[in-house]
Amino acid sequence: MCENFALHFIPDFAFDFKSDTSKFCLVIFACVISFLKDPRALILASILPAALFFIGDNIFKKLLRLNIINLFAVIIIIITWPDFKTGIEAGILITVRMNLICIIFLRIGFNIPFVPEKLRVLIIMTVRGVFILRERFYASLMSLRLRAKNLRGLLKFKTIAYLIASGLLRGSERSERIYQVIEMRGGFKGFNQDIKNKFNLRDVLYILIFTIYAGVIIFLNAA
Amino acid sequence: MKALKSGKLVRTALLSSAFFLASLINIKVGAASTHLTLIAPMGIILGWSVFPAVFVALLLQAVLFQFGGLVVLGVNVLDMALPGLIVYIIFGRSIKNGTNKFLTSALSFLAGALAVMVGALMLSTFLYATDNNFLSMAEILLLAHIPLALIEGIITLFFIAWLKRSAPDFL
Repeated sequence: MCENFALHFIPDFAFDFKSDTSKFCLVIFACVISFLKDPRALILASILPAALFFIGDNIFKKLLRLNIINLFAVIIIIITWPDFKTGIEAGILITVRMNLICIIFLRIGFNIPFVPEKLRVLIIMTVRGVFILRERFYASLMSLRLRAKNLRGLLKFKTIAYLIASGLLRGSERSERIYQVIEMRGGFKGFNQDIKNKFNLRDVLYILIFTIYAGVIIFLNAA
Repeated sequence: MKALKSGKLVRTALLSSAFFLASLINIKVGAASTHLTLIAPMGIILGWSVFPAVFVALLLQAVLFQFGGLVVLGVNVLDMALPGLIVYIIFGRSIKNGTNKFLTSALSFLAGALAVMVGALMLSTFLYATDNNFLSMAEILLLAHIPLALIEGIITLFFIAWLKRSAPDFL
């Protein structure tokens, strides 16, 4: 009962992803990412897309563990940095950049109307493909190191080329199987089924944290 | 994107991953640095689909590693994908259907070297068109890509030879 009572107070309204606002926010987001070296521009501009576009599916909950781990890294950076002010700036910059990159990848899996279906699938399969190839190349490289240590001249290039080609071929078979498995389980549209585009209290907290970051940066620059 | 058929989607994604991984290995050549691209094999295998493949790989590089950047993503895609397409148009059919081993190998080497040199030439042109001060930088970059073109040519030669022997359907 207490749980229901608490839920009653959480603001709960849907966000229309088909509107032009979402397109506008993505453009802003792209611009922000391209100017990542300026922390003030980054933080101030990241609040808007966070508020309008990227929240609504428990982003806060998904990024909580990552941010806890990041907190320790940031503390070490601030302590070890020669200048305290720039240390804090660097820490905040790292945190915000990490959050934005994670949000992009969380968003890729979702149904954004103006991103073509093929491109979305291509991005997801490319990210998966990197790990497949890494796995294949690592095994091949290990066996190569054990069997033939000192390769020189043309033989070296020949070996590298054969290694890439065989890795790609084996990786292709595995990729096909992974693709078929995803299709069997509902396809790439399946990612959207459990998403409720709702704005909740934790998302407000997420935006609030970013606002505090922005405040700290502005305060440090004014001081 | 229209050229990208659903059946070729997985292969395109995998080659995009290979391009992404190969591009991360930088080779220092004097003041500049170059990297393997595997753009010729990509062009020959994918044809017109090389554009979305390169786009996705460069997008991931820009977002994850800050290589390139989103503002110059368009020009980078053109610079990397167009040589692949040129290679596909010039050598694609002869390499895929060629029966003469020596001729196919020679064409593969040429395709690999040409793709890198066209890419380097385009990059130098873009730099020169941006500002006249970049002229010396453009010259250095062009020269730095010559050894890479030879390496890429040799790797393409053996890559295509292996695929033609072991998995001709993959081409």
